[in-house]
Amino acid sequence: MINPIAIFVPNLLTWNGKKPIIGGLEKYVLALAELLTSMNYFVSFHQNAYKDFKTTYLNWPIYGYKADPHHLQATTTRMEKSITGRVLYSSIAQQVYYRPGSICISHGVWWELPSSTPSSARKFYETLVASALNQANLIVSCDYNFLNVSRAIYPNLADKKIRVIPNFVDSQQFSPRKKDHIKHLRILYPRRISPERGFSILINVITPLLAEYDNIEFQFAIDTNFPENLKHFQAWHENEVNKERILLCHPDFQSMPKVYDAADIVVIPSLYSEGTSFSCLEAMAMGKAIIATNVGGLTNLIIDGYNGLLIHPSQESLFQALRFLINNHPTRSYLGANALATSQAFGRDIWEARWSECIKKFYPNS
Amino acid sequence: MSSKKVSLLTTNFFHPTDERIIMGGAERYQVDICRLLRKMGYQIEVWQIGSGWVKEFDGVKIHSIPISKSKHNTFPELNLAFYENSLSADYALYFILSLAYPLAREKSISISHGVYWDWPGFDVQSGHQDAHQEWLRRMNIALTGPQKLVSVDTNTINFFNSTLPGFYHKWEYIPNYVDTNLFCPSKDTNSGSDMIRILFPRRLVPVRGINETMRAAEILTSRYPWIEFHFCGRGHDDNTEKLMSQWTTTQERCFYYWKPFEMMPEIYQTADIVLIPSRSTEGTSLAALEAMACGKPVITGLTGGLSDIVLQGYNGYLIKPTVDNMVSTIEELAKDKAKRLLMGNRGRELAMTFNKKIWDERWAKVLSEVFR
Repeated sequence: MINPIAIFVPNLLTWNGKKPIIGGLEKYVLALAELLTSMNYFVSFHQNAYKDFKTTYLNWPIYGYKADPHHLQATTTRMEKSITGRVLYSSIAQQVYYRPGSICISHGVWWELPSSTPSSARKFYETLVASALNQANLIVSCDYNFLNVSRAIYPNLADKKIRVIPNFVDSQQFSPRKKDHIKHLRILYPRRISPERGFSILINVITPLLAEYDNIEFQFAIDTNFPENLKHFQAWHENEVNKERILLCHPDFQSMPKVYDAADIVVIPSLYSEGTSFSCLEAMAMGKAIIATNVGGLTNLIIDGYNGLLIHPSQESLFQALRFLINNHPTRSYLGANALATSQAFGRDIWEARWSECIKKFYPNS
Repeated sequence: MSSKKVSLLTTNFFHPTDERIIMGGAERYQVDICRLLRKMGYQIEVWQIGSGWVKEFDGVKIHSIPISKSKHNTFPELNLAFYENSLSADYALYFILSLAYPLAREKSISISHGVYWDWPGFDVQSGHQDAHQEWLRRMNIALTGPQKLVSVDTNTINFFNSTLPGFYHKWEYIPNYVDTNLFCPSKDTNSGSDMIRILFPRRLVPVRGINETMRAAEILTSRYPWIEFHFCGRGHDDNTEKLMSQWTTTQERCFYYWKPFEMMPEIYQTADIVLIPSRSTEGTSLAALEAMACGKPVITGLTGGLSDIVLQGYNGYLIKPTVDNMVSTIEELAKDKAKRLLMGNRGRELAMTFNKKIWDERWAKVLSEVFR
């Protein structure tokens, strides 16, 4: 086997290894695996599982390692021992040990929970961020925010070790098209249903907005990764007065363009743990009017009033921003056109060129 | 009804002893916030460090408090003296986050102009690990007092949410501003010269990337007879300025001068590429916004709030400001006129969203929420 690279990933497939997980990190590592394969590397994935397994997904071998969700470090240690050679660490949040010469990926600052405390925040950066800065040779960050926060904590190290490669959008896949006529003005939430994605602030503004405007509808394009979360969603949905104007779908990666296409406004209401969101970039490339929060790497993509609205992550701000865009068709068009123009600075070819430079330098081909 | 009074606390608007006045970004910000407050009908007074003198600037009285000590990058004695001296005021503005330590007026707002602890030199000031933690502990108290925390960039907010979480709803992001009428593209687009002018419109200090820019200038001016470099900004003292002038006499097509604010639009207009190569200690740079408003492509460092205003590859470049990176990025842009014009036009469009009017409105909203 020539030029093997083992990619450590929390979960590319579900814990039983049967279904792909839909999310940004997964999309990222798949794009990276495609690039590595095209550069003649032999890629394998190593992830958490209910019990040990080996399977293949899109022609890449996937190894599952039996893990206890409360002691994931133990599993990472086992992965580490079972592999010789090069490892690429797909998430800085996964481990505290890095083998010499390795690359690790940061998908943005992730520990800034609003309910956290200074001491628990400190544990996060003093263990996970510091280990990566000290041991890995390179940390590829998907946004400037992670670099800037890290530099404000570790001035010298952060500048030496972190390189920013913003996420990308594939303009061949995501581009504006002639929109099918839909009766209602459609507002799309294309994210996971989880607390950090701001699901809670969104559902609280929906009831009053649906009552105020009879010409709008909400579309939830959400994952099925966690059945528990889905149950909460369904319970909420069941009790809404205007539930016929709250739509639900579970698209895979390939059907996303059609989902964006049918929307007029896209909301990215993240509360924390956000990088240069793929959803945001895709909505930009589809020329949509976007409302994003000023959280994490979203500020590296959206400039308020130019290619979207950048809001404080609160219910009140989201409510006002949605009312503003519902009432302002010309503004929606202006923001959408600029979103499309700015998305072109985040092309997949640029991302691939920057990554292949790093790979050649740190994992030279034999 | 008599108008309400606002007291503003800063460290050094005027130099405490020296006569040298340099109107930098923070000073201009202070003048503009005072003007806005007066326009909204407030009376305003300013307090800072000094021997007890009282001066006036732009119609505002500036009082000084004879205290020079600072500990752990905070000013507890200044803060307490201000608390007593400003009792007649209804509201307070802390012009730097750390000035609200330990005691803040009930109806008060603190301002961050960007992260200034992200350069290795800060470690010398803050000392060893324990001292750094003590600074952070004090900052936690400084953030607790005021009702709102206004930041010129999202970097400050993200840093504190990542280290001192819990002030999530106090933070307001109000990016810096530019007068887009004053700073606008030149009507005369045909300069008639084939020379490409690179402008460095910053102070001559290491955190602004002056050293790397000088090296890049040496390389590029010797490589291309059609490139010239203009350094436009003050040094920390007369000696730095003298050294800079001396250096330019040994260089081909490198120029050094500084200009009053009124002349800056023209300085930007006559440039082809503007450099903001900050290594640290940066917010949403006024200079970057002014260059953009004049329709110029910018090459900036990737620090502080610069990524809030520059989109990499769209209206300029965000780079790690090493000599090599600067040389190759300037080279590419200097050779591509079409790209310079495209990026410059986009910069102008972006700058319109940072218009001073919008800044006034955002600030007025926050002021009316707290000062009532």
